[in-house]
Amino acid sequence: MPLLEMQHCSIRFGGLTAVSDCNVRLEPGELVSVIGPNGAGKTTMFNLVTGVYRPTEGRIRFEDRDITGMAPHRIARLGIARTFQNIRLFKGMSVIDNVRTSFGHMADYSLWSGVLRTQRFHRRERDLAAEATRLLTLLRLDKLAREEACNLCYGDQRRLEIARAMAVRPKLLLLDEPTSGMNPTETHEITELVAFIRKEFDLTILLIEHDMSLVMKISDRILVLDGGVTIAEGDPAAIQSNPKVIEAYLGEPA
Amino acid sequence: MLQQLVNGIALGSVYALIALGYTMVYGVLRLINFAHGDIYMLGAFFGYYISRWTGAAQHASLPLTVLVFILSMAAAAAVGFCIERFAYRPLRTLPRIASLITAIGVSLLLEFGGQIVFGPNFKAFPPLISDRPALVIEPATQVPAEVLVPGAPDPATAAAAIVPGHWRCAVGGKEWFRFRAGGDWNLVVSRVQVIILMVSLVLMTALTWIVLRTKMGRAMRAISYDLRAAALMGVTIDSVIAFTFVIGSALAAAAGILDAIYKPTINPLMGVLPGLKAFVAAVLGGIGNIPGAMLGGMLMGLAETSVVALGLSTYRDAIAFSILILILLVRPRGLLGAVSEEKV
Amino acid sequence: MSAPAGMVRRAGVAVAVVGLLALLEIVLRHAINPYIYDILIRIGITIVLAVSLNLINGFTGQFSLGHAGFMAIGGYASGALTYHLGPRWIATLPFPEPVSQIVLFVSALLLGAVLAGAAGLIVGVPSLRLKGDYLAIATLGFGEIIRVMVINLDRMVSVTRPVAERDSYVLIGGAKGLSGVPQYSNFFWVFLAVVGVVLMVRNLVRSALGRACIAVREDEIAAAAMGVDTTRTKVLAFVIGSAWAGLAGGLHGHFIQGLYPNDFTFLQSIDVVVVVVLGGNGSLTGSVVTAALLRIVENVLRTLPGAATVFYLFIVGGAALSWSKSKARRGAFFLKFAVYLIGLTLMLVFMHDWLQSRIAFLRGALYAFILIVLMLNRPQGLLGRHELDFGGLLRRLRRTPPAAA
Repeated sequence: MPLLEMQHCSIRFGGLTAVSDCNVRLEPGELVSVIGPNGAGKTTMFNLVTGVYRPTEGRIRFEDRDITGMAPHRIARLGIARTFQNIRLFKGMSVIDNVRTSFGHMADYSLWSGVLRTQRFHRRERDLAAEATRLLTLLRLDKLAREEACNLCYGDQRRLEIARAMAVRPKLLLLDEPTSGMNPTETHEITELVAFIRKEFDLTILLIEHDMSLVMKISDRILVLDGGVTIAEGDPAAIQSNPKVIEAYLGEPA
Repeated sequence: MLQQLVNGIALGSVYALIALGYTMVYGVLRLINFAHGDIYMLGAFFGYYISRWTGAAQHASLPLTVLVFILSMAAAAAVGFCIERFAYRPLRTLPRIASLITAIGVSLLLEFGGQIVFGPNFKAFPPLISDRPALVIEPATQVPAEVLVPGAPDPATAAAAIVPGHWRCAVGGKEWFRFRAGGDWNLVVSRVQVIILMVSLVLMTALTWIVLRTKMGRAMRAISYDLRAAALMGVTIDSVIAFTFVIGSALAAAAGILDAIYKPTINPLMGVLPGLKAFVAAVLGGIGNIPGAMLGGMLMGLAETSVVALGLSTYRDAIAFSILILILLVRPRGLLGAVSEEKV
Repeated sequence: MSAPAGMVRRAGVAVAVVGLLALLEIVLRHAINPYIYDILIRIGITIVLAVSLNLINGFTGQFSLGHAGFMAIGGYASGALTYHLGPRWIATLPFPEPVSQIVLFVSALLLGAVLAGAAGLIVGVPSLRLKGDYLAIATLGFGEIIRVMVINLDRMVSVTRPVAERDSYVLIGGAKGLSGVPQYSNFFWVFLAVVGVVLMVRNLVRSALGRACIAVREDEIAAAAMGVDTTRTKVLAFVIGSAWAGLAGGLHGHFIQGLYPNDFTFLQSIDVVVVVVLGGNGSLTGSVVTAALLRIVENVLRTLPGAATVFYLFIVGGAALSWSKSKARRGAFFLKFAVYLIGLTLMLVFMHDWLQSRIAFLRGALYAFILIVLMLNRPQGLLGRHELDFGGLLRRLRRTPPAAA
């Protein structure tokens, strides 16, 4: 059974069709990359899956459950987490709090417990803090746990985005240009990190990327979007030699 | 009923003029200028003092009245410019809550300052425009011979008898035409109301022309879509925003004088309620949208006079808030406003 | 620490606090100037209002301009209860009278809080869909509508009564207000509420709900993507904040012994917003400190004898304004300062009597002017998003070496 299925999904904003007839099947454990020129509709596709937008047409199924048009927080609780292209951290919060926010719905104590500071509250908070620290250690952010998120350097912020998304305990992780703005060393680190968490947490990953070497190295499959339309789909070798893909990126042959 | 329509349009024109200032400032700065209603008040007071100074209060004449208008609008425009320059511009890059609190502070300062300088009491505004009726529809009293009531003993007395269903329309005192119709067609349109409507139309047309046809207007529109992009395209943000405030304040001042002639009293707190209602009008039409402000103003004026006509005058102020809530819950972008999508 | 020991310890602290407040109440009521006692009560009520609004505006990042409306609901509900049913309750309850009064008062306050919270739910659910300025306007509108309803409620309900009684019917007093509410509020109750609201908000903020609120404030879309139910979070903060505002309204009404519509206008809402913003949107200690400071300053202003003093305070404000702008250009600053001084002194000399006659407005203008100056110089408020770190302050004080080293 596919983990995620998008069936004939389209979305229109007024006269602009951002995504047109998108069909995706993600099997559990796969890592599929979505590539394409800027404005091709890749992030819009993510927004459709995570419920930020409701598709004008088509249906989306997750674990054989129809999630079309579901509220974003409910989709997150079902097990789909994401990072954002332009980092959207909770800047006024500490690093560890950013991660603990994702634990929110798993807090498992009532409002009154929080106000009255019961034993249950303290116990759960201790557990959640330990969980969060474990996750931060895994992403080498534990030294910065108490630091305000806005004070982090760019690379650390990107890693925090991933940590925060991981804290949702997802089955499906959507990464939106995680290496954007990074030098080759940092890119390499992120690549290793993605491979690691994929194995460690048994994740299925959908990845938007512009860095082709990264994409070709770790993807099981690649989806190519251009102008909202899926112009190619296949394994890395096939995509590299696909003339339509080459045309989309480099234009018509001279 | 017709009378209510006319009253509503007159009131609505005043609200529309004030609403335009709110909507333009919100369009370029995304700021609700709480002090705008007090500019309307200042306009009325400038008009008061200037008409006494120029002698218009004693001997009203068209050129003098126009002079009063122009000078008051200019003075109010200067005040608006100073407010923007000293109170709002320094906070432009900061979270909007700071500008909002400052705007409230400016509003209070103008209100208290007005009470200090002008005195808290009501003043009578000089009659720059005589309050004679411009157009009157009344029951016809003189009936042409062929429709004389049968059985009337004497042509003279018969001539004075009112025949129901016959109406005459008089313009400037002289009869214009007669007509027959059922229902109540009583109507008095005063000269002041006509002037209010005419001046409003002229000003609104001028504003529309500026916004659509001039470089400055184009710059205003550009800034309202995307301030940073406009700046990068070479628009001098400071001048354009200053200009927006200047125009908005001038319009509010005109509204103030027109309303002052209509009422005809003024006091330093007169801007509070009309300011709030004009603001609702701007939201109703779609805040940031100029035709919306005009439409909203008219609708607010009509709604208010209808409420009064229905005998619920204690609720005349509450109607504004009710409309506000309704529009925010049903259609927050307003009647003519556009939905702004946030790019994720 | 084992569970029972922890509970005992906390119960002990609670009893100690209550005891301390009761002691303070007795001491303060008899030992100090009643005028100062008054100010303390007002400070306390303002703190409750400010902290509860800070939960909504500061921590959850919403923008409510209608806090006075919820204060009105709580105030009128509790006042109506004690006014109409008070005597009967006291007569029929099996306790001695002082205890019955306490039961009555606490019940009235709780009723006010619950109703205000319910109103917060009714207002919040539709309004919290709106963003920023729109939410502000909506809450402003609701606040005013509540006030209009309060003024007209008596007239509306009186149609259910026999005609003879209609004109004299009093439920909550209409435009004239409801006077004759017993004065049950005192230092003890008000500051018990202060302790309550501060503790509750502090604990909430450092719990899962608090993190959800701050996440919603920082980035609503990201918060939703991380599983935060943003609507529920916003509505909860709104309801809790409104309930406390209702409680404050009840305390207020039972202090001034009356409930008047003009005590719950848009200006009162603005007043609370100003306290919160000046203290720092999102700073609990900021709200507490600023509430106290503002009320004290207000009272000092009110007692200012003459136009002269008010005027020279304008100078202080103006000086503050020019100072931070021209730190590098001292010469220009002193010139501006001198111009201010001379100009205002001249005005004072020639127009003193005229200004004195308008002293009330002068004070108001000063308040507005100070507000503007503060916003221009320190828009983040006193403490911004930070809290006053008492521990750190104490440590720093202890570290300073003795004078005669």
